[in-house]
Amino acid sequence: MIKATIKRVALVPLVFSLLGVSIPTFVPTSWVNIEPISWEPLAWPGMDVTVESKPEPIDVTSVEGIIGQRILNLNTPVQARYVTVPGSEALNFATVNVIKTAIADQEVVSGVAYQPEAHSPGAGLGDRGCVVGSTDWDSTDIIDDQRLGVSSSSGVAVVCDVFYAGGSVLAQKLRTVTIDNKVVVKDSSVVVYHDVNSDASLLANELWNDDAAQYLWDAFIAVVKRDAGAIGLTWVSSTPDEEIIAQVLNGTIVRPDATLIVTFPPGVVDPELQAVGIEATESEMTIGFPEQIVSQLLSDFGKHVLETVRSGVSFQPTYVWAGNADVDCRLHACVALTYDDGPSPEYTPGILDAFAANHASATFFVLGSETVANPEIVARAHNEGHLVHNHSWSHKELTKISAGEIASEINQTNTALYDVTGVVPTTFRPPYGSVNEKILSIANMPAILWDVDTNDWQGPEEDVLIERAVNHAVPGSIVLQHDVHANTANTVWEVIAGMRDRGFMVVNLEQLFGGEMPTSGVISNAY
Amino acid sequence: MTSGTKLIADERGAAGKAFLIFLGAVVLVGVAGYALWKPVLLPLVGEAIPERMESDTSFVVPAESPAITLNVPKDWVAQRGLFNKEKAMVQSPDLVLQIEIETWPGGKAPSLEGAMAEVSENYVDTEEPRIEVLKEGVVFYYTFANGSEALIGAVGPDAGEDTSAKASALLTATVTGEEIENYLPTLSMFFSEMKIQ
Repeated sequence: MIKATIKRVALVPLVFSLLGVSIPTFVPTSWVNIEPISWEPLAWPGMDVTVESKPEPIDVTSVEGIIGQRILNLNTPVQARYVTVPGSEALNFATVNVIKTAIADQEVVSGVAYQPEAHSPGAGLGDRGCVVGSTDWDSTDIIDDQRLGVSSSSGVAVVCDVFYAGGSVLAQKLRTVTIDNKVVVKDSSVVVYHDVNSDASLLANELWNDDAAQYLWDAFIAVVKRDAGAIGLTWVSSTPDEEIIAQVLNGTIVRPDATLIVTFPPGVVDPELQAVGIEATESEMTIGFPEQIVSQLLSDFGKHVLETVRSGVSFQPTYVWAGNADVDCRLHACVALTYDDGPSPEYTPGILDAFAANHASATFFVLGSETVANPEIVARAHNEGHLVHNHSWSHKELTKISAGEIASEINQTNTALYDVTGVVPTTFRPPYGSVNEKILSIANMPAILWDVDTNDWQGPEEDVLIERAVNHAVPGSIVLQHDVHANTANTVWEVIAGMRDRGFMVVNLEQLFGGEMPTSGVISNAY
Repeated sequence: MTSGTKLIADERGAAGKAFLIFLGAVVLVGVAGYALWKPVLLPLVGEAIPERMESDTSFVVPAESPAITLNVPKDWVAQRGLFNKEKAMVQSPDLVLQIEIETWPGGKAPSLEGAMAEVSENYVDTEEPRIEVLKEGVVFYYTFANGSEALIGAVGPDAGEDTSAKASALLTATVTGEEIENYLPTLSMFFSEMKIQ
């Protein structure tokens, strides 16, 4: 009965249609008194991952304990900028390893063995460390920028950015751009995480455990699909591109809010994307993974890093004086500034201040008589990482005195220095540079002379003194000055700055000799 | 002046009479409609009357020989076609989102591609169609239309990328005064609850 009625009712639209009148298929809700209820559309479930803008690097120029570094080499050619934390061996090793790998590759390409280079005065190499944001620059901009790139048609540039420095953790991104005949042939990045407390240094991919690659890939595919208007809820798992996912994991950056940020490059190809009309992704995409989402995907190191981030404390490395830090003088152009005849209560403290402020190290050849007169200055120099070695007791010309007097001059001073520093000197500098086999035999230590003599004792004008010290040094040079003259003390800041401007690391003799002092002979330089 | 019966002339015109008759008819129909609504008309229209769900409700289309089963969430509104039992429509609680479901009688469903062509006729500015796995065993061949104001497509059993496979239903989602992209998660969730017979 009802069916028959419905059939009759169904004739109604036919009649209306014949009359040329359109009627709705569905009864509008407003006719039947259904009022709208306030309601919010759903958000994507399980999509706490978010598309982000790229994380901003931080300027660590003024962060104590982080030292900017720079290498410029025109022969190999290479330019590298990075930061180190003195005393954190693993950190510095991991960082320098990236630089050394780039240099080794460039040695093969150029056929030129790498040798540290110093440059002309005014080279501007005192500007060191990261150019903030440079790891995100276009590769050609990096190469073309005098501060970052190489002026030749082939070479390699390594640039850096620090993305996190807090507690005991530092995250530094290093990007290597290699050109050959002005064409970029390699462009790779890696983020290195350092924990200065445990001196652990790991690549960013080691923040994750083995399950992370698949999860991040699937999440990325899901995000791209959804951005493209796909509506399937299913996270269809597809095989990650090994090269791309390795690049993504190695670029992981941790944000201060404990979100892990990864950036997928353009050109990702995946069947799931092709199904929604995307043959390959067109632009890079940065995705944030809150800690709670990825907590099951972190390695122990990753968990430690995030705990540190959550703590919110500022970067607190143990301060290490420049003289106690590892310096690789096969990588950097090194020069040793040496000061004789002190310590001088009038001038030596100011010189020490200059070295401390510039995170540089010196070598002081002190007189025994002045050591006992000014033990606090000697102690300070020693405690601040400088080398304090023997310059005889009273500055007699050793070639003109007896064997007994020579022994007394040397041994008394050794004793005085040991009394103050607790360390027996292992080298000496004979007054006036006068030395012979007899003196070497009695002293039983190598004699350290110099290859750059500033003749500061002659009282030259300060600009002349600076020119003498700075302009004539080569990598491995030992520069002679005296910390008992006003002009030497007055110019120490300019001399250190001038050396840095030419690309030098200002180091003590032990650093200059690769960590091991010579054991015999007469040495004037380290090249 | 002659006394006696006085004839009163009919001074009102034919139009006035017609109006009064029409008015009387309207009133009569109204009264009749009101009186007959519940006992007679409502049973005739039946499920074509929109109904707000009091709980999550399983809803099949068509009501007889179902081709597709929907789960209509609580507070959503569902109704069947007034004159076409192969059609149904559900609306979000705020009535902004409308999803129209259309099936074919007697298992005469076209291919996904054919169904898409059929539904696309009513829209302009359609994008390149895509095929996507909605859930295990179910694919959706769909596109955005009218400048992304509408999502239209055909759902069917998973036959991979084969768009000549048989469709189960046409799905058309539109929104009123909003962007459809803001409703994709809702649609995705709704579609994922769907079963095809």
